Amino acid sequence: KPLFFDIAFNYVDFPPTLSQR
Amino acid sequence: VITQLFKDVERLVSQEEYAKVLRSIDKILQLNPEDNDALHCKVISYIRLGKYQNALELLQKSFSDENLISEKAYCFYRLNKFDELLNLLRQYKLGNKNELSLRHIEAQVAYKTEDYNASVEIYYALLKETDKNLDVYNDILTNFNAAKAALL
Ligand SMILES: [K+]
Repeated sequence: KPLFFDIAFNYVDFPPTLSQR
Repeated sequence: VITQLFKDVERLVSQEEYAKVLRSIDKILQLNPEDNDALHCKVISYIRLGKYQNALELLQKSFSDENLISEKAYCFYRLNKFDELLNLLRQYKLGNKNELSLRHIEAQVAYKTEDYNASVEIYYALLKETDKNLDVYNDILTNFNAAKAALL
């Protein structure tokens, strides 16, 4: 089977507001 | 106290210590069970740890339908809950919310369910609108080629 990346994983992330808490 | 705990969370996230992130988050949630940032962090930590069922249960318990859609879709995808996933995607397409994250999940689930035509179509559109200098361009190209090869 050819290489296939889980690109969607990169869009699941911690909230950007974290550093302001 | 909560400020310090969030500082710990930030540091542990940068160290990719997600089990420890969960421990700090639970301390925050003991003080403030409704803290939205903490709940969001808990969902992402579960996902990073591969605990998709825990992430999904928390999403369904603590977030309304319109929030963290990509995260919900991603959990469905990893748990092979394709009916639920396709329902969610359909709902969001009707609402004209065509987020990049959801288009990637749509392309990936199409590939996983051997709907290679649909997968090729989405990656073709994504390639056309992505800057060739970005790392993600090559990842999209790889997936496009994989889906195209599977069609033959
Ligand atoms: K989202």
